[in-house]
Amino acid sequence: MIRSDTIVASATAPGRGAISIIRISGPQSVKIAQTLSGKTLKPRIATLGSIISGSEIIDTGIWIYFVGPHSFTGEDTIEFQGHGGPVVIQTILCLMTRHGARLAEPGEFSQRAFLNGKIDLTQAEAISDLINASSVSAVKAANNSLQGHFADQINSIISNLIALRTQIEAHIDFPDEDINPQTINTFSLTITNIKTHIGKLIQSAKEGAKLNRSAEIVLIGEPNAGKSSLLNSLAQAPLAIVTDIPGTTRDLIRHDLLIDGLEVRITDTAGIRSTTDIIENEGINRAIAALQGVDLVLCLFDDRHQQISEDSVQHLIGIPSNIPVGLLSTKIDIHRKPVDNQTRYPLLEVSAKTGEGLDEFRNWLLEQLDLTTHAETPFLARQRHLEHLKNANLHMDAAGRHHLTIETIDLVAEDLRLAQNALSEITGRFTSDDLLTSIFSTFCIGK
Amino acid sequence: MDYTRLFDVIVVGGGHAGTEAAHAAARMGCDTLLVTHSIETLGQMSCNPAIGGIGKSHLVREIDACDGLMAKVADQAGIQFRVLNQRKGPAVRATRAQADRILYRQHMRYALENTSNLTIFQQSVSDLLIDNDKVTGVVLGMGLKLQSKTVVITAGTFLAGQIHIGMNQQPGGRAGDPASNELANSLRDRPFRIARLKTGTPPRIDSRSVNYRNLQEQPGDTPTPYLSMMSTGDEHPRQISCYLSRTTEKTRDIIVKNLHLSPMYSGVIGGVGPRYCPSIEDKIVRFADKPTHQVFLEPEGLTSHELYPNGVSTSLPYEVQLDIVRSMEGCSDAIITRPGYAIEYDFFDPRDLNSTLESKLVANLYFAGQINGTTGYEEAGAQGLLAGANAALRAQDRESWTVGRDEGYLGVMVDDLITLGTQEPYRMFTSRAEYRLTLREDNADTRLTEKGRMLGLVGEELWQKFQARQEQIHNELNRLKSIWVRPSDRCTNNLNRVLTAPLSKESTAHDLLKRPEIHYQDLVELADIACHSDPSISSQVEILVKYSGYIDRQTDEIKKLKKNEQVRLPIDIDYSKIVGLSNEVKQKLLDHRPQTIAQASRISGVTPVAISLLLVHLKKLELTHLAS
Ligand SMILES: Cc1cc2nc3c(=O)[nH]c(=O)nc-3n(C[C@H](O)[C@H](O)[C@H](O)COP(=O)(O)OP(=O)(O)OC[C@H]3O[C@@H](n4cnc5c(N)ncnc54)[C@H](O)[C@@H]3O)c2cc1C
Ligand SMILES: Nc1nc2c(ncn2[C@@H]2O[C@H](COP(=O)(O)OP(=O)(O)OP(=O)(O)O)[C@@H](O)[C@H]2O)c(=O)[nH]1
Ligand SMILES: [Mg+2]
Repeated sequence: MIRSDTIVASATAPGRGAISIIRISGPQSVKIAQTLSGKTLKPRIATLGSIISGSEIIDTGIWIYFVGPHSFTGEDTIEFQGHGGPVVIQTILCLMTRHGARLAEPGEFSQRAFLNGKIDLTQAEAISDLINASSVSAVKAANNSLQGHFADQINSIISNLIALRTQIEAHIDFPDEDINPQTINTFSLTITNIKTHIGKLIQSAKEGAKLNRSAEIVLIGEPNAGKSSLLNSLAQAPLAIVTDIPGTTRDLIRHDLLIDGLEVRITDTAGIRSTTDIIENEGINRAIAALQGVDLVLCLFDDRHQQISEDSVQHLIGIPSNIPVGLLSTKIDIHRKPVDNQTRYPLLEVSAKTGEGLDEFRNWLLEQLDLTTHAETPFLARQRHLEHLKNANLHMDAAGRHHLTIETIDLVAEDLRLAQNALSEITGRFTSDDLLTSIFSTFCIGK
Repeated sequence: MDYTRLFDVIVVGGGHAGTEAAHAAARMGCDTLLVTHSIETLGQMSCNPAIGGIGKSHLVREIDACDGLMAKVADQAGIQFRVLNQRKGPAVRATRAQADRILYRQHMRYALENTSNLTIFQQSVSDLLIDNDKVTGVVLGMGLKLQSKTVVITAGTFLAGQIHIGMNQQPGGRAGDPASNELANSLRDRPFRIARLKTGTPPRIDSRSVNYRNLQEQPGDTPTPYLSMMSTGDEHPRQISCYLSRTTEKTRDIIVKNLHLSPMYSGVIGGVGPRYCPSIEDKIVRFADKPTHQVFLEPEGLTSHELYPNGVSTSLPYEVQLDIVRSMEGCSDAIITRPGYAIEYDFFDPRDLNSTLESKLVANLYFAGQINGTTGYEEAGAQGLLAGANAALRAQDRESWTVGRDEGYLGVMVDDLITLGTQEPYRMFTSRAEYRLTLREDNADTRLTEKGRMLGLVGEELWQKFQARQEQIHNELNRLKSIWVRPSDRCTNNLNRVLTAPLSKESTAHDLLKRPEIHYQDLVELADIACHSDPSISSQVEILVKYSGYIDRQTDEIKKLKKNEQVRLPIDIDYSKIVGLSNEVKQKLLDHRPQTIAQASRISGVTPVAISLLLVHLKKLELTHLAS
């Protein structure tokens, strides 16, 4: 879509390095930067300044103003080089969206650069690839974010909204028809209900945002593979019970870790095997279910495995769809022979007991989870959903503000249409034709 | 008719699309020929004798804003007028006229016969003359060839029309008129995408056989509304009422028992009907638990005893039709004068048209009306206007005219048709218009008359009237802005009783009117502000002030849309070469052949990512072009 709005994104990978760069591009960028920094920015001159929200200093760094067309995107562009880790960066991004910027779509900076003639023809293909690749990761991230409770709530909000619009639009388009739509009063009530529902969801999504910011990892393996021990040693705390009895762990045990500034949520699971123990089986089911939508699955194999084949992996996690998989050879303090890896997945060797290989493992993890600038993190996806929810809420507010009478029904209908448009950004387009389908299947219409 | 002449525009068909098309082209000074089966059926209403209604009256007013015929003729032929949604907001109000079928036809014919530059000729058209993918004229049924610069086809339901009554079927264009099979066959030999649609009409009833005692009367509004800007209300004939009857449990039983005799339900008709319920069979089947359905008994005219029972369209056999009618309230002794029927006909995939309604496959050839997959007189008439005007522009070597989604329901309809195509007879609804608050029945002139004047569609009389009206609106707005009301004023006490928050500072009448709780009439009554002499001006001003916030926001939305509207997709673009597009998206783009990025983005399944890829591809083409 050709847009001339202002976009913002982090230009550096989260959680890595000492400096983080946030880039804003578009007509509003200078205004936003000057509001947040309280400084007057001059073209091409680095200005030291803080980002202040209320009375709190969020981060301090350097602001640089590139005047379009002499910038990366060809538009007015601002770069802020700060020191903040992921949490701070997310806070800054939120602040900027509140001041009128929009979170950039994947690949959007490069796309703008290309469309504004800042990147030459030879790179056109690369841009297309980039847009494509990033959109895949964006879709994945969005899907991950759109799971479980959150998705249920959104879907229920949307179906209530559609039902309401169906009633109201039928009222408008078919007044002569023999339909018995809800009364005006119930419309007001439904508007209030939907509004409350959206409000609650925004609140809970905000509270949940901290957890959603982390990358999700699941440990999976046969009983006694050493999953719980690995969790304990990464957490540096005896979180999970460790015994030499196979089938010790039953429940999912989750822990949030901070690895080099990157938040990682790690889940220990029941060992996979066939058993008749009802409790253990339930644990195994939960383990399998925990694989849904995570960022990385780690399959653990201990000294019983001299070689690891695709079959051994499949035995644990079924046929992996698009989840990244990594292999860990555990307990290397007791078996020094290199393991024969016949799979396409990377293999690392660790000992939970001695801590050997753990540093390499952490670094490798960061690389795996290195959500490059173009890739979409679940956090960003969720953040974007939140923005749309807030927009929808604004329109619902407007709809609710009208003293809903038959006279203002066309205005209310307009606000509801806009609210639905905002929600459609999350779940896909809902067209006027879809609305008609809903009307025709709800009411008998046809003179 | 001088057959040696090279006409500027030949219009095929004198239905609602054809008459507007021919009239538009002639108004623009083109030497225009209207060829139709029968001069007697010019402007014939094939189905229900009514013009306007929700969504549709917007189209009628848009035709009128360009000085077209439909609104004027409906005012002269209307025997019951109502404003629907009267109490709802102005954007969704709609005027509807019950028309005298005979008067309508007469006035339409009179208007056409008295139009300069327009020749009318009674003949059927059997083929098109096409040379190098360009139309050059038509072939008449009697064999004569006529040359023209452009051709507009408006053959309605006539192309390979097939009429069904029960299991019985016969060719026909509508009851009493022959189908147009020769033209249908020759068009099928051309590269057009053709499919079938169906529609139906109810049996007619002799009014003298109906017992009105227990039926609810539905009179028209007073004062009687009118449709055309040029009307005053004095042109209306005598006004009469409609009556409301209902189907009963017995009706339902009859239909359920005889469903196997319905060509639609027994599979005889292959054409697609709409998702809404056009026939009583549909209503009973799809809404089985609804015990009764309303039926409006609408008089067909002042000189006829026939009634049009609106709501019981059916293609069941005649015997069943009679049982159905007699099971309705007040109709136990009813006499049917004509049977109801369903009709199946060819329509042309509108995705093969561009936004001027010109064919993408054959140059200088335009399609308008029911053959584009729509249903309704108003939908047909509005397309006729657009196609006729564009054919004229082409003949005159002038730049074409398109109507945006933000400019009119006409624009919404054409854009929907050409970008999305249609799977059912397309009918206008206000919910199809995303800029509904901007596209009102009351401001069609503001949206279109100036453009119409530039095109040569709008005559001097309407133009004068329009300008005077615009000036009055402007003056009235300024007057309200110049009147101040102060908290200390004597009238403020009165006002405060109505205001949700009392007046705290000096305000203009204009500001006061912005408040939802204040109406123009309140200003007059409570604040001693002189009333404008013309209620249509004061109501226009009230709407403009009250809606301004919403209209501004829609204007913003429209501006964004405009940008994408301006990025054109070349006709020869090779979608298969575009990196990254999924096969599904490629196929969709191939099928729809959108003209602009905006159109592409409205095709279902074309994602924002696909649009990004298209933009990158376009830029690449541009750069390659520059380089070479
Ligand atoms: C049975 C039936 C039921 C309908 N029900 C409804 C309804 O419920 N609601 C609704 O809104 N609309 C309904 N309509 C549709 C409405 O009548 C049409 O939408 C409208 O008339 C279309 O206008 P048009 O100008 O496209 O075509 P038409 O009004 O059909 O006019 C076509 C004209 O072209 C002429 N013509 C055709 N072929 C040739 C040729 N080869 N040479 C010369 N002249 C030719 C015909 O004689 C005719 O004058 C119904 C129509 C029918 C027939
Ligand atoms: N030598 C050595 N022993 C280990 C190591 N990690 C785990 N073990 C031992 O292996 C046994 C099983 O360890 P757990 O961590 O409970 O294994 P698990 O995979 O959680 O097993 P379940 O919960 O039963 O599925 C215990 O006796 C551990 O002490 C290691 O790195 N070195
Ligand atoms: Mg364990």
